[in-house]
Amino acid sequence: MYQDKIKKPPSFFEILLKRTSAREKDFTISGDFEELYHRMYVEKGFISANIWYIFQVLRTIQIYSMNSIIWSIMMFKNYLKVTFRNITRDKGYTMINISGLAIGMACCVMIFLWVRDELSFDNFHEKADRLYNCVMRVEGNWWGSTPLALKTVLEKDFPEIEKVVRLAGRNRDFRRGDYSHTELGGFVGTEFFEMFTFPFIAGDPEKVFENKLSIVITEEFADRFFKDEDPLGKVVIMSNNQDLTVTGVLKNLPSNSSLQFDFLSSIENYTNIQRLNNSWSVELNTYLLIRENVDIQSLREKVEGVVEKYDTRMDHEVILALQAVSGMYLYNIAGGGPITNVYIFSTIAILILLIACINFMNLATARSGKRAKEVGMRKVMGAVKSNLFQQFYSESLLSTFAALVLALILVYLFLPFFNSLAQKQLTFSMIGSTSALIGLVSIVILTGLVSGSYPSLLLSSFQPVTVLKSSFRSRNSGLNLRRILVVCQFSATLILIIGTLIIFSQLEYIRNKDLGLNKDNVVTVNMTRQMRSNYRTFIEELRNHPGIINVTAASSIPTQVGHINPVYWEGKTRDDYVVISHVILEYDYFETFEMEMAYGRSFSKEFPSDRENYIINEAALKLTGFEEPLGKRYSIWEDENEIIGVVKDFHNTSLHSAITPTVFTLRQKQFPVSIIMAKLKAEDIQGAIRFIEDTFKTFSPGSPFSYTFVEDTFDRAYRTDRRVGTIFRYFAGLAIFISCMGLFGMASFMAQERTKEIGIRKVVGASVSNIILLISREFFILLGAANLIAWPAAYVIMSQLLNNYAYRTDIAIWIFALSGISVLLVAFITVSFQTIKAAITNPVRSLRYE
Amino acid sequence: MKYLTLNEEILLLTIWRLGSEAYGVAIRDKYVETTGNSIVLGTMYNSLDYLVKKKYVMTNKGEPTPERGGKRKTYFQVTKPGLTALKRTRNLHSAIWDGVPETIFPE
Repeated sequence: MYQDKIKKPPSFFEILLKRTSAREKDFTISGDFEELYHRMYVEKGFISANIWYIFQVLRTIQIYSMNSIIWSIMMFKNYLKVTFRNITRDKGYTMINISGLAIGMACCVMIFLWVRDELSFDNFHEKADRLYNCVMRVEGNWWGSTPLALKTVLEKDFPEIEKVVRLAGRNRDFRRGDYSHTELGGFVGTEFFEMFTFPFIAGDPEKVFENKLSIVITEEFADRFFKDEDPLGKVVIMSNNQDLTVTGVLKNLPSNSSLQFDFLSSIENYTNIQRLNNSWSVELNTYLLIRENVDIQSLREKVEGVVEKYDTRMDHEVILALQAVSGMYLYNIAGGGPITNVYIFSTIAILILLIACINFMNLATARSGKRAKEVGMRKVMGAVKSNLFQQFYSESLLSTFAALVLALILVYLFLPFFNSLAQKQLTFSMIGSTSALIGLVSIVILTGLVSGSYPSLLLSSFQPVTVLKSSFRSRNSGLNLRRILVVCQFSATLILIIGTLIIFSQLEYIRNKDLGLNKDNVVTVNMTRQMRSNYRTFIEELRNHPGIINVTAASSIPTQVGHINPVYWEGKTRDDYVVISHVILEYDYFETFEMEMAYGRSFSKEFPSDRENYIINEAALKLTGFEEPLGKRYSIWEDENEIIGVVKDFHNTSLHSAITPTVFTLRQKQFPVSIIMAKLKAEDIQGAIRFIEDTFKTFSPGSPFSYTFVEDTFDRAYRTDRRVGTIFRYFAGLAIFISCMGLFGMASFMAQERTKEIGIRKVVGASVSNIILLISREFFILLGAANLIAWPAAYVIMSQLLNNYAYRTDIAIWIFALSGISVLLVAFITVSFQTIKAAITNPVRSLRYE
Repeated sequence: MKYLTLNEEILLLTIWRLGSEAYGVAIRDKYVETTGNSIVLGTMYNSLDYLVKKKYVMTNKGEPTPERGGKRKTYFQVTKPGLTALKRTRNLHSAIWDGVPETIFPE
């Protein structure tokens, strides 16, 4: 009946069949299959037999898979049941564990949103990857401003560049009817709207500057000046003498744009075309759009020498560099910038999450002793290590998930607070975006994997024989790892605390440092165009008021020196010049700010030659090497004269940078004074300001009056620093909280475990304090180790941070000592609280179990 | 009271009918012959396993043959509880079919 040659069914499917029917039936099924296959083959032929066989195998596999799925679900139900029982039995510990994780995750999420926002700055432009900002390095100092004629030259010489646009960012006063207001904005070429993506809600982007007396405004501007009217086609008056027609309205700018403005007008309203195309005066920003697929490195090399080549006025060393617009906000040209904060906060987020995870691992591992018998029994009943692994991993994943839910609630509640801390406008819905969801999921998975790993590994490795013996000492399970974890946890916490204290002391240092000048109660008012001719009279009028001590004017306020010029002096030739800071001022400048002269005198009306002479600061004096500076020759460009005074160094920029050498002149040749500064008596400041305002209005009718205090402008430079400090403080606090929660849980657990031991000790004669010391001793040793690790680590990290400042506080020893002691104290209180409970228990009760 | 499903009933009776020749292929052939429906071998074995679990059927191993590629056969046999279950089900059938005349069925 059967052929001599026995036909075998297709081997692939045969193997598949054998694999899935994992039943110890001695391959009966596959035997049946073969028999049928053979019959099929004989009766119906090769093809039918094969088709039949494959079909049968596939269906069979399907049936068996469904079986195992159903079994898994059944097991899972059991795991769930056990997990819930555990949770309800130890409600306290579970709460501690989950809350700790939740807080850690919530911090992570918030910082993640913040980082995402920071990184997104300026990236919303369609062509962001091809946009660059031109910056210059003059004699080693970086400047964001570029020459007017740079655009013409770049367009001519570099075909790789598709478009170039100039932006002169200036504030102007605007008036419409009775309403006037100073607005932030600038003057641009028409290419601006083709390069940067700022959507229009009204008006045609291609035609906005057809007539140069036009202006493009934002919704906010429109709200202020036009309320509900349609602004298109209407007129606003700029600087009291130019009528500009509104040709476009932009949507309000997103907060993550470093280019912020409320109006844009044609660059031809800034200055005439002749100057625009030929002058090498450094006054505005130049942005480029490069063509697609251009190698930016080679372009960078090519443009380096452009300014030196064409600017024939002097032989500066000028290097032109291209800064990517997408990185413009984060990276300061000279290094550092907000990107440092991004790194810092990312580190903090990771540290806090780590602390929370370690907490979880610790507590779970400590309690694993209790489950030892359960594991033993399961193994006896036939569970394999992978089953147990599955079980305990799903337990920790469940906890992580619960923590996630809690974390999201926390984020929702605290996001407004975080926003005010970080000066951002993050919304809860941002979590819904793709990148955020990916980030969130990865945080959860990471946390779940990390925190569940050790407990699962430990628990699944218990041998039934060992654990089921009544002599199993459950409290030693994983003791060493737990010790290491506690040390890591507290090191991280200590680092955060030390960091906070150092930042705090640096901020105090800034606040209290002698700046070399007195900036209290000094009001600044910007000069208007109308006042240019008679501002000296204005100053004299102000002097008359009893509440005003002194009045002066300058090209910049003392703490924000921006202009530069080349200088040389007696003993040097003109070609051997140095570029330093230059301030042009009026009489009484140094007196208004109570600056002291190191040599000579201040400018005085009694000496008409002072109008041409120079005063320099000590830093500039150091450059010259003169020992007797008075009377020596000094020059800016070609104007040679003498030094009549040397002023003691004062900080002319924030403490982040060193004091630059500066020269002061009365002569208003290269640029004018533009800021009027008045020192007010501390009493009745408001009255003095009102007087200033009234006088202002008579000199400059129709212009809006606004003033600022020098100290506010100065403080603003440190706003970010203060914010970083505050955020650090909160996170350090959270870290301590989480760590202590963990300690609390651990301590109470240990105390519970050692009830019998404590009972016996008490019987033998130990006092409550003896017992407390005994139990706390272990924690102290661990904390000591943590300190040893944290101190050097914190020192290294904080030194990096402090490098941002040219003037910084010393990292004092007391900071380390204080952190170490306070953590020790808090830990001690936490631990002893629990041990006291155990220690005052009546020994009779604890020893009763035997 | 737990009754057998129709499939279980068919399988048990088939096994009984085959007597000592009740193994996988034979059962399947008879099943196909009786019901006119084909059945996937795996499904049938699943149901048979379930019957074994319920203790209605027991298994023995047999001799290997070359057509089976050298693999053994598993023979099935109905157990006493299985027969009891069959009887219960048959009584149910009698009960529900009692007195139903031929005439109610359409042409």
